[in-house]
Formats: sequence, structure tokens, C-alpha cells
Amino acid sequence: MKDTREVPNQAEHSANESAPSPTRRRIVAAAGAGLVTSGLPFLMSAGDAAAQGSASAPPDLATARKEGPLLLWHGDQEGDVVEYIKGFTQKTGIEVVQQRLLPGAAWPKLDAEYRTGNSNVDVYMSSDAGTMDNQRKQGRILRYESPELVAYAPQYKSNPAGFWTTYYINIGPMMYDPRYVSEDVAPKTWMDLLDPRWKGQIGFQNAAAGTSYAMWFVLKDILPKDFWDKLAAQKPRGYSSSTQIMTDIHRGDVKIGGRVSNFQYLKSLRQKLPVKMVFPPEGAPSVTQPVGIIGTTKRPNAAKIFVDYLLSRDGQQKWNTIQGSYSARSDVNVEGLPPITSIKVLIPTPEKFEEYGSAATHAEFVKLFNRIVGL
Amino acid sequence: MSVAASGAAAPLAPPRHGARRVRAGVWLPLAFLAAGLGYPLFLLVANAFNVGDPQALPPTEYGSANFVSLLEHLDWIGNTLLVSISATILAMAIGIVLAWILYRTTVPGQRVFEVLIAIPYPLGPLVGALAWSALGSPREGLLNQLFTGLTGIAEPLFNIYSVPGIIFVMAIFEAPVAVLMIGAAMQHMDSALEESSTVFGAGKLRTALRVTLPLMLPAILSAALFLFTSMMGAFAIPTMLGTNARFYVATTAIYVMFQSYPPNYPLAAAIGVVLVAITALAVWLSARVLKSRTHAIIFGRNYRPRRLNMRGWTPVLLAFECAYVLVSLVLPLGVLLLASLQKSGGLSWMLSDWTLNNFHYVLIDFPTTRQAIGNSLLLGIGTGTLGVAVATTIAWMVHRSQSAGRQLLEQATMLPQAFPRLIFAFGFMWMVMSLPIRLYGTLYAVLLAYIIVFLPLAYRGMSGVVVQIDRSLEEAARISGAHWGRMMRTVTLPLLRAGLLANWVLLFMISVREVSASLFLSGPGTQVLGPAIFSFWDSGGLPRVSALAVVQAVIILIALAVVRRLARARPGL
Repeated sequence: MKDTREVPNQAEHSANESAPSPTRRRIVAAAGAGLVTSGLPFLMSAGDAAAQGSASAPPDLATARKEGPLLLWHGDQEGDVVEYIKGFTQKTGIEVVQQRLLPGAAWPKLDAEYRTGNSNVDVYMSSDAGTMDNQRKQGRILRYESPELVAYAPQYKSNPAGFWTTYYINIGPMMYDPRYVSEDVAPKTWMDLLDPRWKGQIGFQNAAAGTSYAMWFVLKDILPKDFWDKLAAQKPRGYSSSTQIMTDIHRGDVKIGGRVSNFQYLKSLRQKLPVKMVFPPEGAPSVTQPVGIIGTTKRPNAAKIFVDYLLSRDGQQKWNTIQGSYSARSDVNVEGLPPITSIKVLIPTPEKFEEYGSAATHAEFVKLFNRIVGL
Repeated sequence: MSVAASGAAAPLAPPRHGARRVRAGVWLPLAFLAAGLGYPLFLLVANAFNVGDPQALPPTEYGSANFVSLLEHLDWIGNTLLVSISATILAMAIGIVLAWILYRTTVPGQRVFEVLIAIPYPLGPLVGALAWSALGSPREGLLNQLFTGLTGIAEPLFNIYSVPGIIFVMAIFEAPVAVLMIGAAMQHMDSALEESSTVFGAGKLRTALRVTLPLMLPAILSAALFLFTSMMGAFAIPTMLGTNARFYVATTAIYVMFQSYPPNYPLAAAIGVVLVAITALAVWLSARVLKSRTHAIIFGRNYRPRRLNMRGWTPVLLAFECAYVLVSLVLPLGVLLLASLQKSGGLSWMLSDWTLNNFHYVLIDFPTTRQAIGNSLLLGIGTGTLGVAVATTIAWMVHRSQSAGRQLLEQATMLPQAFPRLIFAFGFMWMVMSLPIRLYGTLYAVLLAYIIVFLPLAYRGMSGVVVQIDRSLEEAARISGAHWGRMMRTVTLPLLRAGLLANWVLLFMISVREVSASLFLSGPGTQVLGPAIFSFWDSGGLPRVSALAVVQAVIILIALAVVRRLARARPGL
């Protein structure tokens, strides 16, 4: 990271990027039997509190260091993110604080913060490109055309580019521990999950996970319509994270990870725990995990430098090595993973992005998947 | 630790005469509770009837559709009631027996067991769930492995990921509250009736069942209510042990609804309102039952009841105490310590597989946990100090003042007990977000929430202390010419000191172990231990989360040790 970037036009920043636009306020119709509500707060309306995206003014490192700690939201494992940002801080001198928030919690939280004028987040590394693109459409993501974008194929970037970019590809194979499941009986295809032997023995992440949503979204037009009802009859368990699934797989308490983020494979191997991945011929449902700068960022220079580094070859190598996953850059390779070209990767295509990001499609999935995992 | 059953303790009512005014000591806490509890409740109810934009606050359209939707998920409410009622019964059974052994029998080791039995409660449900998942998971659970190793039977002895498993873990970690509450009543019980029973030829067991137990009923009901309301809001244990069993209670369903996109806040709020209604009904019913038992034989005075020598039963009762300490303290802490030393996720006894790196990681390398430890200590001190101050003021006003409105104040103080903590936090978060002052995202918001949710417990504790202070000592000081300040300094506060310290430590410990109330309120910069452990459990792996849980346990044990040392150094404490 060089310290010699052109100093951005601060006026442009303040006008276009960092300042939250004013919001309307509504007076709470504070009433209620016996409740002390009069004189209590004003709530802001949903409104469009977003800052407007702007053309890409390059960041300035000296200014970034003075902007205060960058607030990063993410849906990844905290330990991985902390290790990564430690290296980032050593390299740039920019402090970062992080909070793990899955998309279902992050976007409504951001929305509520917009309503009340409390927004403070700068960058979100999400597991749901669909909802990220929705936020882009609502003008809530800052457009920053990082010089690193040239290294990314169009399917890994927002359209137009610069709002969000894929910081890793989260491929979702099935997984099992060969100590408890022999290779010859292990499922080979998605339909094999319906084998009665796996009843009560399959684990998925629950409906809160963007990866589960993406799995359903890319498979719903490939697998038979009744697959999901039959899957529900298998009584799979709904875990809150892929780490939880792997813990149970290695304990022998659940036999098959129905869809597990591929980085768990390397994590198991690093712990010397036996694990096998299955890439079904129908395809492995995958998520292009997007990173974007929130429109109301109060630390635009630090946010841009963070994104620049995360998308750079060096940053990608470090992040994906720490986490054990695939980069969307072709010049980055993480040892121990099968080549991505050998896998049939299923990701939502650009023409499906409207549907992929829609709240109605998400709601349909949540209802179905809650039923599948018995909630 | 002095935790009296306030429902059972007959307040030393001052003489009432003439028109009374509402004193500041009454209306200030009332206003605080009305704002801090009433407004979140208002937001919760408003949201439960929101049928428009699910994220709009205040709602733009009202209707009952969310409650109709709830009919599809009655299993969440049913499961909540199932585990709450069952775990309350089990915890009460354990608690009554232990309290009786400790305070009414001559079974040896009372002082040691009094401490050991109290510890599991402040250790908390996170420790309980984590530890018992390592002890009782069907295949790799340490106890199941031991069973298989000893018997050669492949089938596990038990599966902690089951409804009975959840009930068991909830019960053993809440039972100390029952011991504290019932034990306090037992120590203050006039034993004349027991002695009469013995004189008339009843055996010891018959006396215990036919005399002691009915005498204890108000305290038992009071403790049962406290446990039931706590368990209705239980989150960590059902979440951590229920997923594998596809078993969901209301709080776990709310949590998943909060995490999913789009979140269904109105349905979550509707569940919350139903839960609050059920616990409020239980509080009301209990108050009615207790009211009809005003003849309770529990007074502020200390009796020294004669203890029963159980002779041949003594080893059995001692074994029961040991068994409880084993399953609720020794095994959980032992397995967490073992797990925290592991290089990988398994549980190995080989020294070569052990490392201290997990402790280095959570204490040094990982800024979030470092911050969480510091914040939790600050919050523990803040909650202990302010919570005890508020609770003492309220207890004093209720029991020692003649102010109008003091009964209302007592009822309002106990009201947070009807709020499952996760549900309260849900409404409280909306409140702090909407306030014109910047409270959202600060530790003050978490502190305020802690003070409100722990107020009933603090009030119970301080009530038990206040009602035991003999008025005559204060009156003597006044007659001797001491002004109010001098009387407080030289008579009242020294008398209160032991109770203040005990309740301060109790609040400190339960703040440090808290998870449900802070789950929605802590964030970057305001991380606290409970949610940090929960997050580590979610995505950090067993060794690291165990290391953090061990650190939490050490903090709590140090707090306990310090207070006991203080108590020993200054016998007045």
C-alpha cells in the first residue's frame, strides 16, 4: 500500500460520500394505557437515509489514518476476520473494529440505524450478493471503482462495477467424516440426500444463512419440484453456522453436511481431522460473497483502502489462505483446495439477480427452509 | 449470600396514619421503571400488532394477523412451557432437598457445600450448555465414551441433545437459586412446630414432609415462580442443545427470525407478548396464592432451629450433595478446562495434544474477547453498584417508609421478572435507538438494561436484609441524639453492610455471565462476555470457546473468593 496516492477532493467527499443525507422525522404517536410515552423520543421514518454513490475519488492513506477505526460488518468467522484485519492494520496503520452480522441481521439493523440517524458502519463483507445489490438499487452503497476491479470477471462485480465486488467464492459441497461414513455409501448427488439412511442425519445452516438461501435459489430450478418436501421429510437439522455442522460431523453426531462452506474442508485438514467433500454432478451451490462500502460511511478513505487491499492480489492471497477458500481472482491460488475449474460452480446469474435479491423470494425461502429444518 | 423470599417475608409495616405524600424515593424509581420498562413494552406491543411494513416503527397499519400466524407455531410456545415447567419442577426438587440438607440436618460439610452449591448459578447457562454438550453428546461426549469404554456397549448412555437433556441442564444450573431462597427461609423458620410434631411421635421424614414442607410453601412458591420466569426466557441452553434435536423454544425461534432476511419482527414481537403474558399470569397467580398465606412462619428474626440428625441417612444425603456438585460444577468445569487445552476439536488426555495457545488467543490475540472481558468487568461493577443502590432505596421505601405508592413501587420493581430477558432486550433496543440522546451502541445502554432486568433479584435480596434490621437500634440512636446522617453512618449502614456486599457480588456475577439481555445490545466497542462466548460457540470451535468460558468462570470464582475473604477478615460483613 503506497502512501502517495493523490489527496482526494475533500469537498467532493463531504458533499457526495461521507455525509448522511438528512432524514424526515416522525413523532411517535406515543400513547398507551398507563405507559409513560409522552415526551419520549422521536423516531425517524424509513426514508432514504442513504448517501449517494459517487465517482471514485482515490483514497488518501494519511487522511484514512486520522478518520478513526473503520467499522467492519461481516458474516464470516470472527477469528478469520480478526487475523486478516490484524495484517491489514500492520500494513496500513488503519485500525479496524469488526462485528459479525449475517445479512438478515445486518440489513434491518442498518435500516433501523438509518431511521434513527445512528449509522456508523463503513464496510460490509456479506454472504448475500442479492441483498447487497438491493441496497445498491436503494442508493445505500457507495460506488468506488477500485483499481483492483480490472482483475475481476463481470460475474464477480456489481453492474455497474464499483458498488460491490466478490471478495471470495464460497462453494458449498456436501461434507462428511470418513470415520463415520464410508465413501461407497456417501451421497454422490443431491437426490442421494433423500436416501432413508440419512434421515435425521443431515445438517444445513438455518434460514438465516445467505449460503442456504443461495443453495435453494440455484438448485430450485435444477432439482425436481418435490425435492424440498422430500428433504423436509428427512428431518435435517438447521445449524447456525458451518462450524457447528463440522463440530457435529467430527463428533459423529450428524453424518452429512448437506451444504457446507468449502473453507471448512481446509480448516478440518489443518486440525488433522478427516474430511471428504462431495461435489454433486448437478453442481455445487455457491455464493459470490460481496464486499461493499456503506453509503453513509464516516471513514471513506479508510473504507476505500480496506476494499483496495482486500481485492488486491496480496490481500486476496492472505484472506483466502486464512479462511481456506477460493478467490475470484485467477492469479490467486490457495493450496490444498481442488482447482475451481474442476467444479461445476452454481451461482445466481446476472439475469436472475433481480429475483435473487428480492425480499419476496427471500421470504418464500425462509418459510420453506424453516419448515425443512423443523422450525 | 442473603436472598430472601420476599413474598414470604412479612414486611415490618410501619404504622399508617393520616394522608401520606408520595416521596421522591418512591416516585423516582417508579418513573425510572415506567420509562425503562414501560416504553419497551409499549414498542413490543405496538410491533406485535403491526401488519404493515414489518420494519416500520411506529407501525403504519394495525391488526391481529401476527397472532393468527402464531397459531401455526404453537409448538414454540408449547415447547417453551414444556421445558420451563419440567425444569422448574426438577430444579425445585433438587433445591428443596439441598436446602433441607444444608440448613435442617446435621449432615457434615455445610459451610463447604453452601459455597459449592451456590457456584453453578453464577457460572451460568452458557457454561452449562457448552460443558454438557462436551460431556453428553452421543458419540464423543466424555461420559458416553467412558460408558462405552467400561461396558463395551456401543449405544450411548444418554443424549444431551434431547428434551430431557435440555431440562436437566437448565434445572441443575438454576437449582442454586432455589437453594438460596428456600434456605434463607429455612434459616429463619421457627422450629417449634417441627419439635411439636416430633413430640407427638411423627418420624423425621414424616415431619419433614408434613410440617417443614408446608411451612416452607410460600418460599417454595416464590422460588418456583422465579425459576419459571427465568426459564421461560432461557435462550443459551435450548439454542445450544436443541438444534440437534430440532427442538425450538420461543426464544430460539425469535433469534432465528431476527437473523433471517427479511426479519419477521412483528411475529417475533407477538411471541414476545404471549410469553410476557404467560409469565405475568404466573406472577399474578403466585401473588394471589402467597397473599392467602399471610400466616407464613417466616419473620425477620433469626431463629436457630434445631437440626435433625439423620443418622443412617446421612451418607445418602451427603452423596446427594456430592452428586449435585459433581454434575453441576466439577464435571462441567473439568471438561471445559480439558477442552480449552486441546490443540484441535477433540478431547484428548494426551499431554502432547495440549496447548495453552487458546488462552493466549482469547486473552491476548483476540481484541474482541479482551474488550469483552474488560467491558463485562465494568458492567459487573456498574450493575452491582447502581443495582444495589436502586434496590436498597426501593426496599427501604417499601419496608421502612410511610410514603404513599410504596406497594405500587414494589409491584413495579418485580415486574421485570415477567419479561424474558431476550424479549425485554428486543423492545429495549428499539427504545434506545429511538431516543434523542445517544445511548444506542454504548455501554450505558447495556448497563441500564442490566439494572432493569436484575432489579427483581436485587430487590428480593435487599428486602431480605432490610426487614431483618431491628428498628429499635435506629430508634435508640435517634433517642441518644444522633441526627439522621450519623444514625445511617453508625447504625444502619453497618447493619446493612453484609447484605449490600452479598447482593453486590450476586449482581456482579450474574452480570458477567449474562447473555440474553445483551445479545441485541452489545456491538463493536461494547462487546461483553456472554455474547462473545455465544459468538465463539457459533463460529470459533470448542477449544477457544472453552478457554473463554474458563476465563469467565475464573472471574466469577475470584469475585466469590474475594467476598468470602472480606467476610472472614471483617466478621461484621
